Amino acid sequence: MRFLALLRKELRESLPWLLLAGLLLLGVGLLAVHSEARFAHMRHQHWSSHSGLGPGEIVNVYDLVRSPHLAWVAMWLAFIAPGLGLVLGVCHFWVPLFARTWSFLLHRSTSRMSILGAKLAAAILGLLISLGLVWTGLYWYACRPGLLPIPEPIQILVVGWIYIAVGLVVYLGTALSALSTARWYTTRIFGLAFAVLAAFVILLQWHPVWIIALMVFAIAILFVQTVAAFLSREF
Amino acid sequence: MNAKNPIHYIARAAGVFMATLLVLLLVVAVQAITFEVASVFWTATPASSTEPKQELTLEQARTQRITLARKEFLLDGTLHLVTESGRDRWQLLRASNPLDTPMGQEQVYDVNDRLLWDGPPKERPYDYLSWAQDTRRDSLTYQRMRNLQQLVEPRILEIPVATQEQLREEWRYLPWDDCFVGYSLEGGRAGYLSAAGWTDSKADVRPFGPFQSFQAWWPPDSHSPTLLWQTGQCIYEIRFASRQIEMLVESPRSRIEYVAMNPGYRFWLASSETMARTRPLLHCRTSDEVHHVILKDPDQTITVATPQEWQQWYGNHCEFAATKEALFLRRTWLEYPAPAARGNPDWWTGFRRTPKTGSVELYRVDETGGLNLVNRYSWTLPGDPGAIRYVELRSSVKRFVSAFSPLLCDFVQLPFPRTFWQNLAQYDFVRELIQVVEEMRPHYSVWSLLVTAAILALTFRHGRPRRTSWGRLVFWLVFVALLNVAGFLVYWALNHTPTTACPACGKRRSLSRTDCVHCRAALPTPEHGQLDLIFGV
Amino acid sequence: MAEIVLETKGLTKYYGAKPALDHLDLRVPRGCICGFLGRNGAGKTTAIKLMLGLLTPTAGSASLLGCDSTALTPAIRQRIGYVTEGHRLFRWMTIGRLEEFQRAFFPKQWDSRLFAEMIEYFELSKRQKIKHLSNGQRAQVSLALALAPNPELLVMDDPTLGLDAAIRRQFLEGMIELIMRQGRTVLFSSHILADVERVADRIVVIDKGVLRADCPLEQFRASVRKVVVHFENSAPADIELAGLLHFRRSERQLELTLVGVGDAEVADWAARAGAERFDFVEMNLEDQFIEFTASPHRRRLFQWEKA
Repeated sequence: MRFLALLRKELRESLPWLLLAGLLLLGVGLLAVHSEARFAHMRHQHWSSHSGLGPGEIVNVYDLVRSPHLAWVAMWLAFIAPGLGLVLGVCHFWVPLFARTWSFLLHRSTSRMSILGAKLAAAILGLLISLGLVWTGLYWYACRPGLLPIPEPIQILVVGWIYIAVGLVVYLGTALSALSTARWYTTRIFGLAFAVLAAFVILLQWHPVWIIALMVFAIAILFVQTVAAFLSREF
Repeated sequence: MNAKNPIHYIARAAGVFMATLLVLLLVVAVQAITFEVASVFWTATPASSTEPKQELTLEQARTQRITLARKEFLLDGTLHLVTESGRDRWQLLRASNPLDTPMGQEQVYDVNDRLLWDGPPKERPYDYLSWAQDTRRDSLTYQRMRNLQQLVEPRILEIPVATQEQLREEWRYLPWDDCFVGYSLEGGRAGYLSAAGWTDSKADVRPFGPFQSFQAWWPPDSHSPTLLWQTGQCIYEIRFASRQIEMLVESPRSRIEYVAMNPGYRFWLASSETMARTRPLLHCRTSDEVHHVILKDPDQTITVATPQEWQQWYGNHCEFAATKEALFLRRTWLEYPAPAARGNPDWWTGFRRTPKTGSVELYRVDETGGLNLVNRYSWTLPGDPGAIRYVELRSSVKRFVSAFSPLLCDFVQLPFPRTFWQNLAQYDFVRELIQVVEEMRPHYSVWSLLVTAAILALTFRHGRPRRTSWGRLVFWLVFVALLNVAGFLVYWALNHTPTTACPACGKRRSLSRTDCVHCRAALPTPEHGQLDLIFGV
Repeated sequence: MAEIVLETKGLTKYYGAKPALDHLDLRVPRGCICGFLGRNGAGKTTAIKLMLGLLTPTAGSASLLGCDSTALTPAIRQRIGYVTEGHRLFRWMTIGRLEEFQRAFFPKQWDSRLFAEMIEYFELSKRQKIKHLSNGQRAQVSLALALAPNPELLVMDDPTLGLDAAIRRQFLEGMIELIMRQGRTVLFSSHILADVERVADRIVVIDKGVLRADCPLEQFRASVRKVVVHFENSAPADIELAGLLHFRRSERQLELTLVGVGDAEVADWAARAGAERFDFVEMNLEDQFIEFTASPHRRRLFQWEKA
C-alpha cells in the first residue's frame, strides 16, 4: 500500500511529461506512416520512371537499400526517449532538491529503497506505456494489410525498443548526477556523461548480443551507483 | 546506509570503473589536442617544404614517369608504359563520376623509353589485356552492411523483381536469419531464398554464411537484378526473377579474401564487341593464396596456386585476364620485405627512406593452373628522406605528450574481442579515436618515469592523512601507477575529502574516521564551563 | 526515572573542516515539550536532521524511541511526526490528495476525524492545491499531517518560520491544544522566543554547534540575569565575579549579565566592590537568550566587554 501510494504519486507527478512524449510520438508516427504509405504506393505504381535503372547496367548497391518507412519516426524516438528519460530524472531527483521536499518524502514510514524503487518503477512504467505501447501500436498499424505495400521489418520495432531502453539509461544517469553531492566541474557530471557515452556506444553496435550486453552493463553500473548514492546520501 | 552493506562495495567498484573510463577518454582527448597543437608549433612546416624546389633531372623525370605509368600488356605479352597528361589527378580522385572529368592525352612508351603514340585515349591503337576488376568498388562490403544494421540509421536491403512497367515482388534481406524473404505486391509471401535455394518455408532456410560483400547488375534480358553474394567461404549468384541460386565457389578451409570480375562476366550476353576480345571471368583469391578462376564460354574453373615466396614481398598482387585463346596472370610487387605487423611505425620509416625496386610479371596460365613466365619488367622507386624528418619531429612531440599516458593501457583492450572494436570502428571518428589511443601509448622514457614517480608521490601525500586503511592506500597507489595522470585524477575525484589539523599531534587528519590516523586521538570536544547551563535529565 | 525518548551522545557533524554540530549530548524525556533554540546557523536544523536520519553524523550517535537514527525503521518512523522547515509539501497535490498520500503510510493509526477537524479549524478546504496556499496555511496543513497519525514524538523544525503574528498565534494555539491533549513529546526549534516561552517546559540552546544550555525553562529564566550596579565614584575596572557572562561599563555604572549567580552572591560582590546600590533588570526570554548567546562581535559593537 505504501509502495503503491509512492508509485501513484510519482506517476501522477510525471504524467504531463509522459503524455506529452506519447502524444508527440503518436502524432509524428501517424503523420509519417501515412505520408510514407502514399510515397511507397506511388513508387511501386510508377516503377520504371522512379527507378532510373535498366537492363545491362551495374546496379548502384545503395539503390537497393532503403530506410524502413518507420525509420523517420524511429529517429524522433531516438530523441524523445532519452529526452523523456532526462526529464523524468530531473522530475524525480532534481525538482525535490530545489523544492526541498526530500525531507518530507524521506520521513515516510517506509524504507529508502521503497522510495527509490517507486521512482524507478514509475520511470520504467512511464517509458513502457507512453513510448513503448505507442511505438508498438504504430508498428502494428503500419503493418496492417493495405496501408504499406509490404510489411515493415521487425528490426525497426526492435530498434525503437532499444531507443526506449536508452531512455532508461539516460534516466539513471540523470538520477546519479542529481544524487551526487560533488560539484558539477568535478564528478557530478559523471553520471550523465557515462549515460550519454553508453547510449552512444550502444547505438553504434549492430549485433544484438552486444547491444543487449552493453545495455545491461550500462544499466547495472548506473543502477547500483544510484541505489548506493540514494541510500547513503544526506538530504 | 550501513557501510558494510555489500551494495556499497559494488557501487564503489562501479564508480571507479565509470570514473576511470570517462577520465581516460578525457585524458586521451587532451593528449591528442595537445599533440596536434604542439606539433603545429614544433614542426611549423614540414621539413621537405623548407627545401627549395629543384628542377628534376632527366633521370629523375624518367623515373617518375615510369613510376606513375600504367603497365599494360598487349595480347602477345609485350609491355607498354601508359601515362596520362592534361588531366588533373586530384580532380579525377574527387569526382563522383570519373568519366565526367575532362579527358587528357595518353602517351604510350615501350620499355626502351621510346614514345610509340600520343593522343586521346579513345583513339589509342593498341589493344591491351583487360584485367578483372576488384568488385569492392561496386560492392556493398561487410563494413557497409554493418553500417546499415546499426541502430542510429537502420536500413533494409530490398531487391525488386519487376516487369518493364511494374514491380511484382520485393525480396528483403533478413540479417538475423541470413536469407531473403519475398513479398508479393499483390499480398502474401513469395517464399525464401537462402543457401538451400528457394523454399516456401522458413524452417527449410539455410544461412548463406558470414557476409563479406555483394554486388549487383541488371542482366540484359531482365528488369530484376542479379546478385553476386560473397560470404567467407562461398560465392553465390542469385537470380531473383527466376528464384535461382548458384554456388560459384566454395572454399571450406580458407576464407575468400578478394573477388574480381571483368565486365564480360556480367554482360556476357551483351554486345559482340565484348565477346570478341574476352571471356567472362570471375577471379577469387582465398586466404591460402590460392586463386580460383571461373570462366564462361565455355564454363571452366581453373585453380592457380602461386608460389609461397611471392608473399614475402610488400604489395604482392595478382590479377587475371582471359582472352579466347589464353588465360593470363599479372603480378605486381615491390622488392621490399612485407612488415610482420601492420602499422609498425619503424617499418614505415624504413620503407619511406629506402629506395625500392618495383616489378611486374606476366604469366600464361595453363588448364592445370601452371604458370609460364611471358614477360618481366622492373623499375626503381627512390626513397623520401625529407618526409622522415617531419615524422621524427612529430615522434619527439608524441614521446613528450605520451609520458602522461597510462603505463599499461593495453589492459583496456584486453576484455574486448576484436569484433567489438571492429563494430565501433565503423565510423571514421571512432576509428580515429582508436588510432589516437594507439598513438598515445607511453614510450617508457626517463621523462615518463619521472612523471609517474611525481604523480605517485602526490598521491601518497594526499592519501596518507585520508586513508581508512593501508590496504586501500596501496590499492590506489597501484591504480595510479598503472593509469598515470588519469589514475590520479580518478583517485583525487573519488577520494578528496576535507582534512583538519589534529589538536593532539598537529598533523592533517581526515574527518571520515573518528580518530586521527597518526596519533589515534579523537576529535576535539568543546569545553563546557560555568557559564553553560547544562542540567541533563 | 522518566523514559528517554530522544537521546544524543557526542553527536558531531562536520561540513568541510568546520563542525556544524560539536559533541551534542542531549536527553529528552517522554512528555516533555522541548524548545530548541539557537541563532541562525547555530546547528539546530543539522541536529534535527541528524536525529531523524537525514544526515550521517561525523561522530557520535542519536537515537529516537530507542532506535538508532541512522537505522530508523518504518515502524519507528510511524511513531514520529515531523514538520519540516519551511513546510515543503508537494505543490501539485490538493490537501485531500496529500491526506490520502500520508494516510497510506499510517494505515492503522490515521485519525481522519482529527485531520478533518484541524483542516476545518484552520478554515481550509481539502480541494485546495498546496501551491495556492499561503505560508501560514501550508504550516497548518503540515501540522495537521504530522498530528493526524497521533505520533508519540513530534519534531518540528521552526514551524512558525515566515508566519505573521496572527497566524503564528493561531498555529500555536492549535498546536498547544493538540499537544496537550495526549501528552506527546515535542521537540521544536524556533527563533520566536515568545512562542517557546508559551509552550516549552524545557529548553536547549545551541551556539555555533555547541550545546550551551539544556535545562527546564524556569531554570534558564532564573539563571540568566542582568543587574545594574551603581557606584558613587568610578566603576571598577576589574570584576571578579564567578558566573559573569559579560558586562557594560559607563562612568559610574556597571551593567552585568550573569549566569547562575544568586542574589546573595551579587550583594556580596557589590559590597566588596564598593557599590552604592544594585538593581536587577527584568528580562523576557528573548532578552535572556540574546544576552546568553551574544557573540564577541556584537559585544564589541555595543561596547560590551567580555569577561
